[in-house]
Amino acid sequence: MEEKYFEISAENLKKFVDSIIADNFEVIAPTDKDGGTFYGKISRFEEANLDILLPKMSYKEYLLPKTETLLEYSFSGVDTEIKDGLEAVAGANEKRVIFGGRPCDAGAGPIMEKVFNWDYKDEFFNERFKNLTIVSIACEKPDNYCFCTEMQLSPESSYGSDILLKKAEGKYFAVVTSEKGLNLIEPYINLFKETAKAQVPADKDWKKLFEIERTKSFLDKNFEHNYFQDRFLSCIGCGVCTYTCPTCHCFDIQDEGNLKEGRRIRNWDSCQFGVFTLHTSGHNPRVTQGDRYRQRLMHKFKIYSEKFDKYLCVGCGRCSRNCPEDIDIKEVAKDLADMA
Amino acid sequence: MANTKTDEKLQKIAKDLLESGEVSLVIGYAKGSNLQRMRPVFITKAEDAGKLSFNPHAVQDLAVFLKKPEVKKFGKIGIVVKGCDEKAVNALIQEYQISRDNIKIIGMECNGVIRQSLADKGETNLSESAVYDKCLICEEHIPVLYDFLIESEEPKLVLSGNVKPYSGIEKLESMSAEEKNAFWAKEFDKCIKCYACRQACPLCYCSRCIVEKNMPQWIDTNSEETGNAQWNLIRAYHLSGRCIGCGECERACPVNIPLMLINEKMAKDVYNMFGYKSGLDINAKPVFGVFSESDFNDFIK
Repeated sequence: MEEKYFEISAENLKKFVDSIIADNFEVIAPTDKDGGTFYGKISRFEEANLDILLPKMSYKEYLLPKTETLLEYSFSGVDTEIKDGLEAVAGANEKRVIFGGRPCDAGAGPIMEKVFNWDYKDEFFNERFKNLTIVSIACEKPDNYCFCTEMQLSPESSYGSDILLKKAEGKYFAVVTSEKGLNLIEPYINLFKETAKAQVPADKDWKKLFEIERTKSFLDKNFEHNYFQDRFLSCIGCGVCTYTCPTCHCFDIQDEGNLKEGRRIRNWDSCQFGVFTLHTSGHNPRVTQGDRYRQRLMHKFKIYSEKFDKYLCVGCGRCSRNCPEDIDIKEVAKDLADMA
Repeated sequence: MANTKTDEKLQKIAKDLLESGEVSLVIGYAKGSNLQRMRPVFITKAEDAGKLSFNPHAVQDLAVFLKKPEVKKFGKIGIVVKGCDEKAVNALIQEYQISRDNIKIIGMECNGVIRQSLADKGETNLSESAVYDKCLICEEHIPVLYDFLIESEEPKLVLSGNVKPYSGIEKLESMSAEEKNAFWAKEFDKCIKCYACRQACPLCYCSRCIVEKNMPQWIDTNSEETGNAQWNLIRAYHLSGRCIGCGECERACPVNIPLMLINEKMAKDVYNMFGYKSGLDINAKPVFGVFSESDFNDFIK
């Protein structure tokens, strides 16, 4: 769809959000709870915290839940009944809107979509992804951990958003990029005023600190390098980087149940865990934490881009902000670029 | 930023230890990704000792690294510790995980560390409301065991008593079983099973955690009601009588589960029942590793 542009006052934006909530949309927005700011369901516009740069966790769970039932079985003694988990997912997210996320989080969806439709079409992911509507807000002040610009996005990128809101002079400009976005605002179109692209404030000239292609070129040539072992001695393998990451998507399929009933589920998993790649023989090709952090760097900045033409990182900086041992991935990616 | 006197003393000790060959590694703190953050640093060459630093942003418990195979390989290790962290070193010695002979303890007198969530918003002043709860009840501002001690340049924390540390414990104790259950069900619902609590814990050193054992599968793998409750409860029990209260599990938790309410409550109960506090004496036997006739046993009916 060709992009459409609208203007909306701050007051009308509030009306819009309250209206979709009244019309039974589940609106997920950054909201203050649990001693921090997290994405969560809001029941009115005021509950959204639109000042926060980024909630501690991404909203990945709405595309890939932390535990998802793939199938359920029950055994009566004679017959076995199997229930496809997909039935429960059908229509999920049809009435769900992520509101007030940032361009980096929005960018994660279409990037992950590539691996979920590679050799196998993951119907669970696809069902959730196709229906989820994303209304993002452009960032005005990225912090020192942000590096979306280096990751081929920008604080004002509309990639992955159905609607991108840009704040200017007390009002908002809405860049609508998809039918999904257009359908969302259609019933409330009187709150919006269509405008021309030229009226929307131009993107600022965001500067890059390093070139991610150079990071990749270092990784291309250096599978073994002391940097990985030395630098990541401080990594405790906690998995926070991967679990709070909007693009990390590893999962582990497990069966839970007994003779009578049970289910097959998939849970979030992490390449930072000691049992990652541990063979039954006891051999482990990624035996040190340095090997495992390198794995994460390789996957994000080399392997994924070679397969899917996109880096598996949106530069949100969550892994750095949330790392208990203060490992800053932006600093690391720059170090590698500098060594290339 | 310029070195403080504390930094200089610290660097001198580390330099001497490395030069004399008494240790092959010093684990300490260095300046982090912003002025309000410190990060662990691993010094193997005397000429790098200048990286070492210490201030009220040194939140990490570096004893966590003593369980790491890549670190153990260094053999003789010097470690920079606050009073709370040092108790973890003691507990590891008590539980035969490390040998006292292989460790040089560089103890820092500490008047508290600033909550990282506040520090990230720019807080730099040590105050009653800025430090972790553990600092308000701390009885080991000077570590109980050390080879070197560096006295603090920071003023002592002034306690008005207005901030009540771990006040949640009293609230929990006054709840009915159903209310407690509801409280924890809500908290554990947030758990994403990243196991950061385990990894950040200096005393969670099992080479194979029970969640990784699947023949049989003791703990449900799901990150829903059953799996999350089982995981958090089993960890609470494994740490009771052992947790030294560094609070690293709670700090590492990306979804803000108040894990220290569990750990402190368990520690309090263990103290009330057995008169034992973890990590204070390397010669003491771990409380659940011994039986004494005076142990209360009125649970045997």
